[in-house]
Amino acid sequence: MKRFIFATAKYESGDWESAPNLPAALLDLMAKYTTIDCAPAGVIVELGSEELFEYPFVWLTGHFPVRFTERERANLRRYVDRGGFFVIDDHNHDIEGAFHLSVVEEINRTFGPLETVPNDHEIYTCFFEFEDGPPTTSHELNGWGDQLIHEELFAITRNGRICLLYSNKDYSSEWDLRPDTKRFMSLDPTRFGLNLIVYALTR
Amino acid sequence: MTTASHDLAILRKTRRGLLLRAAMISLLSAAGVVWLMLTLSALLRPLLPSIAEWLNLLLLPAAAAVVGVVLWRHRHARSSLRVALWLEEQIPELGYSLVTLADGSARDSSYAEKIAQRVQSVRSRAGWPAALSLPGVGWHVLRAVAPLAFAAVLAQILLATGWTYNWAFVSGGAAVPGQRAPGNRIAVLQGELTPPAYTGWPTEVLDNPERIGGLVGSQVSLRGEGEDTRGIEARIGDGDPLRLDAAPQRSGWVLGFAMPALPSGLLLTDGDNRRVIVLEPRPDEAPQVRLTLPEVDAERRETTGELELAASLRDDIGLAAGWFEVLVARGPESGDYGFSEERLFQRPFDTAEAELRGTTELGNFNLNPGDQILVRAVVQDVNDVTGPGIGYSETRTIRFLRDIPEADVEINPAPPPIDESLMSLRMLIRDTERLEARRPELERAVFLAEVAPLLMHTGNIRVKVQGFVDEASVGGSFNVPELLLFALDEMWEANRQMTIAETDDALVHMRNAYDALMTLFNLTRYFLRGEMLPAHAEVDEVRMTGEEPVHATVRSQREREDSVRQQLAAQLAVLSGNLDATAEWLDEHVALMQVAALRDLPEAAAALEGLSRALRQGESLGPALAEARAVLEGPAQVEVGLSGWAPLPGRSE
Repeated sequence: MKRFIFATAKYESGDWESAPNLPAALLDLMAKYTTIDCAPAGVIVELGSEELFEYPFVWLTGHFPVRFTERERANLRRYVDRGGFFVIDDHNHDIEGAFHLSVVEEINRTFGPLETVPNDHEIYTCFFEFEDGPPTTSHELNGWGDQLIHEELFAITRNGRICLLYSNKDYSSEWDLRPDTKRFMSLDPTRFGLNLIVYALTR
Repeated sequence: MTTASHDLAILRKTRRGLLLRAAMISLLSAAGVVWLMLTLSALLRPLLPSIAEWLNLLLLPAAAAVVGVVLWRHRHARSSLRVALWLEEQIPELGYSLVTLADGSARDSSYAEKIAQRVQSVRSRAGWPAALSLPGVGWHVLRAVAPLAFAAVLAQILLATGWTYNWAFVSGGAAVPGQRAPGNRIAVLQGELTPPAYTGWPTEVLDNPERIGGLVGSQVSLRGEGEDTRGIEARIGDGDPLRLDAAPQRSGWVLGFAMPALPSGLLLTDGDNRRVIVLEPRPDEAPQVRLTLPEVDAERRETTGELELAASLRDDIGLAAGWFEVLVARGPESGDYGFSEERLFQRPFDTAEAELRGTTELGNFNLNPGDQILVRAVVQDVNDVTGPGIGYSETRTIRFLRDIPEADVEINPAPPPIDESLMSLRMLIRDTERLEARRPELERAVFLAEVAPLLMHTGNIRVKVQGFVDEASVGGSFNVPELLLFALDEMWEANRQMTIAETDDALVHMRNAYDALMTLFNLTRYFLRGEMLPAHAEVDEVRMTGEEPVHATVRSQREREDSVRQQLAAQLAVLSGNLDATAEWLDEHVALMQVAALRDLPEAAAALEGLSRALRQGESLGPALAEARAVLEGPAQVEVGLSGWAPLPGRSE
C-alpha cells in the first residue's frame, strides 16, 4: 500500500501557506489511532501541476481572495472527477470575507453550487463520532470572525461520495498546532481531521 | 345386429354428437369473448384506461367461465342414460321406451326387442332432433356463437373506423370528417421556435420535428390535430405534464413551453401512441474577457503612481456592460486582514466585441507596504432570460513590497532560506580541511595567519549555538536537547583547538558539531536562522498510542456506477438485440439515448443522431449501429499474446 502523504495545495493567488503546522498535527493523530503508513510531514503541491494527482487528500486554505487560473481550475475539476478528496477551509471564518466569497464563486464556476452536508453524514462517524455534525472551533466559540457558529459543512459530491469539502469553520486556525502542543490539551481538537482523511482513503 | 343393439348404437352416436356440439360451442364462445374483450379494451383505453387494464386481466377468467357455462348447459351428454332422457324429453312419443332400453333393465332379449321396435317406430314417424345431425350441430354452434361474434366484429369495426373514439371524445358527439385516425393526434406536429427577444433572431418554423434545437429559454409552440386535448399528455423528461390548449382559430391543439436548460426528451402520449422529440438546447455562451493590462503579476515598491488597465471583451450574441474589479487586500503584516472592492471604468456596450481601458491612481487605494491588489475584468452579456451571463478574466496580482529583506524574494513564499550559520560551519569545515591539506607546505607564520580568520569564525558559530541553548532553556526553565548541548560542547572544543592552531583536532569536533546540528535540524526542525519550518509528526513514536474512543463505522462497498458511456453502450446493446421491436419502441429508445448523450456525452450525440435518421428513413441500421458502437465502445482492443484456447507453440496436440 502506498504511503499516505498529506498535501497542501499551493495556488497562484492568496496565502496558501497560512497553516504550516496543520499537516503535522493531523499526521500525529493519524499515527496515534491508525496503522496507516504515513509520511511524518506534509508536502506542498501546486494546484496547477500534474503532481496533484499523486495525492488522494489535499488541503487548501488561506485568508486572501482566491482566483484560480484556468489551469488550476481544470486540474481541480479533473482531480475531483478522478476521485480525489479536496478540502477547502476558510482561514478567516467569515462568510462575508474575501476568501469565502471568492472561493465559493470559484467553486460555482468550476463545479456548480455546493451542497450542504447533512450532520448525520458518515463523514462524522467514519472514525471518531461527532453526533452534532462538524465540531465547533474555539474561534467560533470566542466570537471571532463573523461571530457565527457554522452548523454545517458544504460539499461537491460525485456518485454520492464527497469529493470536495468546503468549510468556513476555520479548522486551519484550530488545527495549526505543533504535535507537542497537544499534550497540554485535554481533548485533541484535530480529531475531526482524522475523519476526513479516513473518509478520503476508504470511501 | 338386433334392433335393440342398433338403437343403442344410435344412442351412443347421438351422445357423441352432443359432446362435440358442447365442445365446439364452448371453445368458440370462449374465443369470441376473448376477442370481444380485447377489442373493448382497445376501444376504452384512451377514455378509461383502468377499465381497459381490468378487461385485459379478466381475459382468462372470462374464457374459463364461458367454457364452464356451456359445459353445464350440455351436462345431459354426460352418460347414455341422460342422453336417452334428453331424447325422451325432445320426443314424448317414445313413452320412456328409449330410457328403458338404455338403462339395461329390460334384460329379457325378446322384451328388449319389442321396446327397440317401438323406438324404431317412433323414430321413423317423428325422427331424431335435427340438431343431432352433422349440419344440425354446425347450425346450432353457429347460432350459439353468432351474437358474440357479431358483437366482436362490430367492436372491431368501431375500433378500426374510430367512430366510437370520436363519439367518446368529440364534444357534441359529432365525428369530424377527414380527421386523422384516433390515437394519431400526435403523429403530425407543426410549430415554431421563437428565440429570446434579446437575440433579435427570427422565428424558426418546425415541420413535424423529431429534434428541436435552440437557445435556452426560446419559446417552442407545437400544434397537433384533433378537436380535443383529453387523452393527450406531454411532459419534458420526468417533469410535470405540460398544459395543452385548443388551437385558436383552427382545429387542433397547441402546446407551448420554454426550451429547457438541459437536453431533454419531450414525451407525447395519446392512448397507446407515444412519441419522443429530442430537445437540444444551446446555452447562451458566457461572455469572454481577456485582461491585457496588467500583462503579468507584478511587485512594486511604491504604493503611488498610475495603474493602467485594459481588457478585450467578446460575446456570441451581445455585450451589455463591462468593468474592472479591483480587490485590495490589506494587513498581512499586522495580521489584521481587511478587504475592499471597487468597480472601475464601468460602461455599457451594444456590440458583440469591445475594448475596455482606463488608468487609475494607486494613491486612491490608500495602500501600504505589504498590501496587494487583485485586478480582473468582468463583462456581462445582454441575456435577460437565463442570464445575464457574466465572464471574468484571469486575475493579476500586484504586491507592494515591505521594506524588509525578505520582501526581495519571489512572490510565492520560498522554502526557508539556507541557514547562514550552518552554511558557515560547513564552509568553515571545508576551509579548515583545505588549510589542513596545505599545512605541510606552509610556513608556520603563514599557516597561523590563515588560521586566525577561521578561529574567529569558529568563535562566532560557537556563540550562535550558545544562543540556541539559551533560547531553548529559557533561562534554565526547560531542558535543552542533548544534541544541542553536545554540539555546543563540540564547538567549544573546536574553538579551543583552533586557538592553538590544531586544525586537524579541531576538524574532528567541528564535524561532530555539524552532525549533531544536522540531526537536530532533521528531528526538531530547528532552524539556525531562527525561522521554523512546519512541524513534523513523530509517527513511529506515537503509533497507536491514542486513547480516545473510536467509532469507526463498517465500510460498505459502493455499488458499481457505470459511466454515461457505459450506460449508453449497454442501451445500444439492448437496442441491437431488439431490432424486430416496433418502430415506435426503437424511435423512443434512440431518442432517449440521444438526450442522454447530448447531456453528458456530446461526442456520441452525432452517431446517435445518425442512428435515429436511419431509423426514420427506413435505411439499413447496420452502418449506423456500427458507428454508434465504435463511438461508445471505442476501437477493438487487441490483446498481445496467446488467446485462451490457442495451443502452446511447438505442442503437437
